[in-house]
Amino acid sequence: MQTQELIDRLAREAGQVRPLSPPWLRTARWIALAATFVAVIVLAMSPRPDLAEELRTARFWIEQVSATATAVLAANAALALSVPGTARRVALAPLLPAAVWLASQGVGCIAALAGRSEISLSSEPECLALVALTGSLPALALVVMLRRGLPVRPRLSLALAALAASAIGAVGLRVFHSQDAAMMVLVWQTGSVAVLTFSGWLLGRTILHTSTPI
Amino acid sequence: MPSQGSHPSEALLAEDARLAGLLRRGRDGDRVAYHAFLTDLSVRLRRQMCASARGLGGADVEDLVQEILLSVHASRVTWDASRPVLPWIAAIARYRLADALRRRGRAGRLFDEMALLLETFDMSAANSTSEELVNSMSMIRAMDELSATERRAFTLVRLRGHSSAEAARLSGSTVAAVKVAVHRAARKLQALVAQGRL
Repeated sequence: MQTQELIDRLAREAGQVRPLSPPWLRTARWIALAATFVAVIVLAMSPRPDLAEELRTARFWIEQVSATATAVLAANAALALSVPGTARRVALAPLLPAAVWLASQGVGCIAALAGRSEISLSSEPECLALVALTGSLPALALVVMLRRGLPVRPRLSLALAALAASAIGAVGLRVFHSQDAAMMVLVWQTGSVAVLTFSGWLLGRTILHTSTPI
Repeated sequence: MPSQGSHPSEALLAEDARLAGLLRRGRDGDRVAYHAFLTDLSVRLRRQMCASARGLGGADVEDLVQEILLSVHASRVTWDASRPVLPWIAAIARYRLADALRRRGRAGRLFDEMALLLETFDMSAANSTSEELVNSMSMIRAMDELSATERRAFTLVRLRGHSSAEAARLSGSTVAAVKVAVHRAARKLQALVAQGRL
């Protein structure tokens, strides 16, 4: 097809279109959906019996607030990057809360190491499945939202989306899954978030790439 | 097109404002304005592509211009009308250009090597060093692995620089058949390189 023919066709078919909402508004919509889904999963799995006690500890709040902030800022960065021309530095936004999140667990690990000569680290690979399950619908929603834009950095965008979804999944997991040892949380819960984020980076081009067959 | 962080000239700002106005009206349903936007954009892109992707042939440039136009059209909802339009277009163009070069990938580098080898072959009578002779023989052996159709299409498009349309006319074939033959030839030559046979 000649380029002029293509231009004629595109202009002929083009009607009025509504611009995408700004990223912060789209992020707010995603948070509403993700929070509802996580709440449903928590209720379906039953909140952990010692939740009231956990709610009185500073560590629980620091972890949950920093994980939630990581999820929100990662989702916002992913959605912002689905607009071509957005500076890549927006992807740095979730790093600070993610660092606080990791540090809070690291401090817990150091405290555990200082208190005992050996720490228990049992195998709980189901954490990966639980984080993935709790973050599944939020992840799917983000992919759909990203594909409405044009993620010109598909790997980075999907890694951020996976980070957002798995971080919100980890927030839910802490509410219904009784696992408190800092090392266990770090390895199995936060480790699952890292694995899923890396998977997002690997699959970004496959899932978010849009071809334009002529 | 301006890169982020540069200081655009007044002419560029005026150009941005003009294109932004056309796109804004186009998104509101003004087909004439949208047609003018796409036409201006295609001229600008063609100029840009010829300057920045010298390895691409004329038909490749036109394919790329069309891909970018389609991407701009499909994602026109993403442009924030309060921001300049040229950086937004430049990001889409870079994405599609990188995509096209990635698709050619190793094949693209191979084409460059093949072109150099062919030059060596042409000059071998005057410059017959042993390395050049080996290169020439490798080239001939590699081309023997291709079918007659693939060899003709590859030679016309990749080595002599004809567009797919010109190659189709010269070989009495169709553009689609030429593109398929060139693609298959590239894949075979890539396989030869991977096997260490070229």
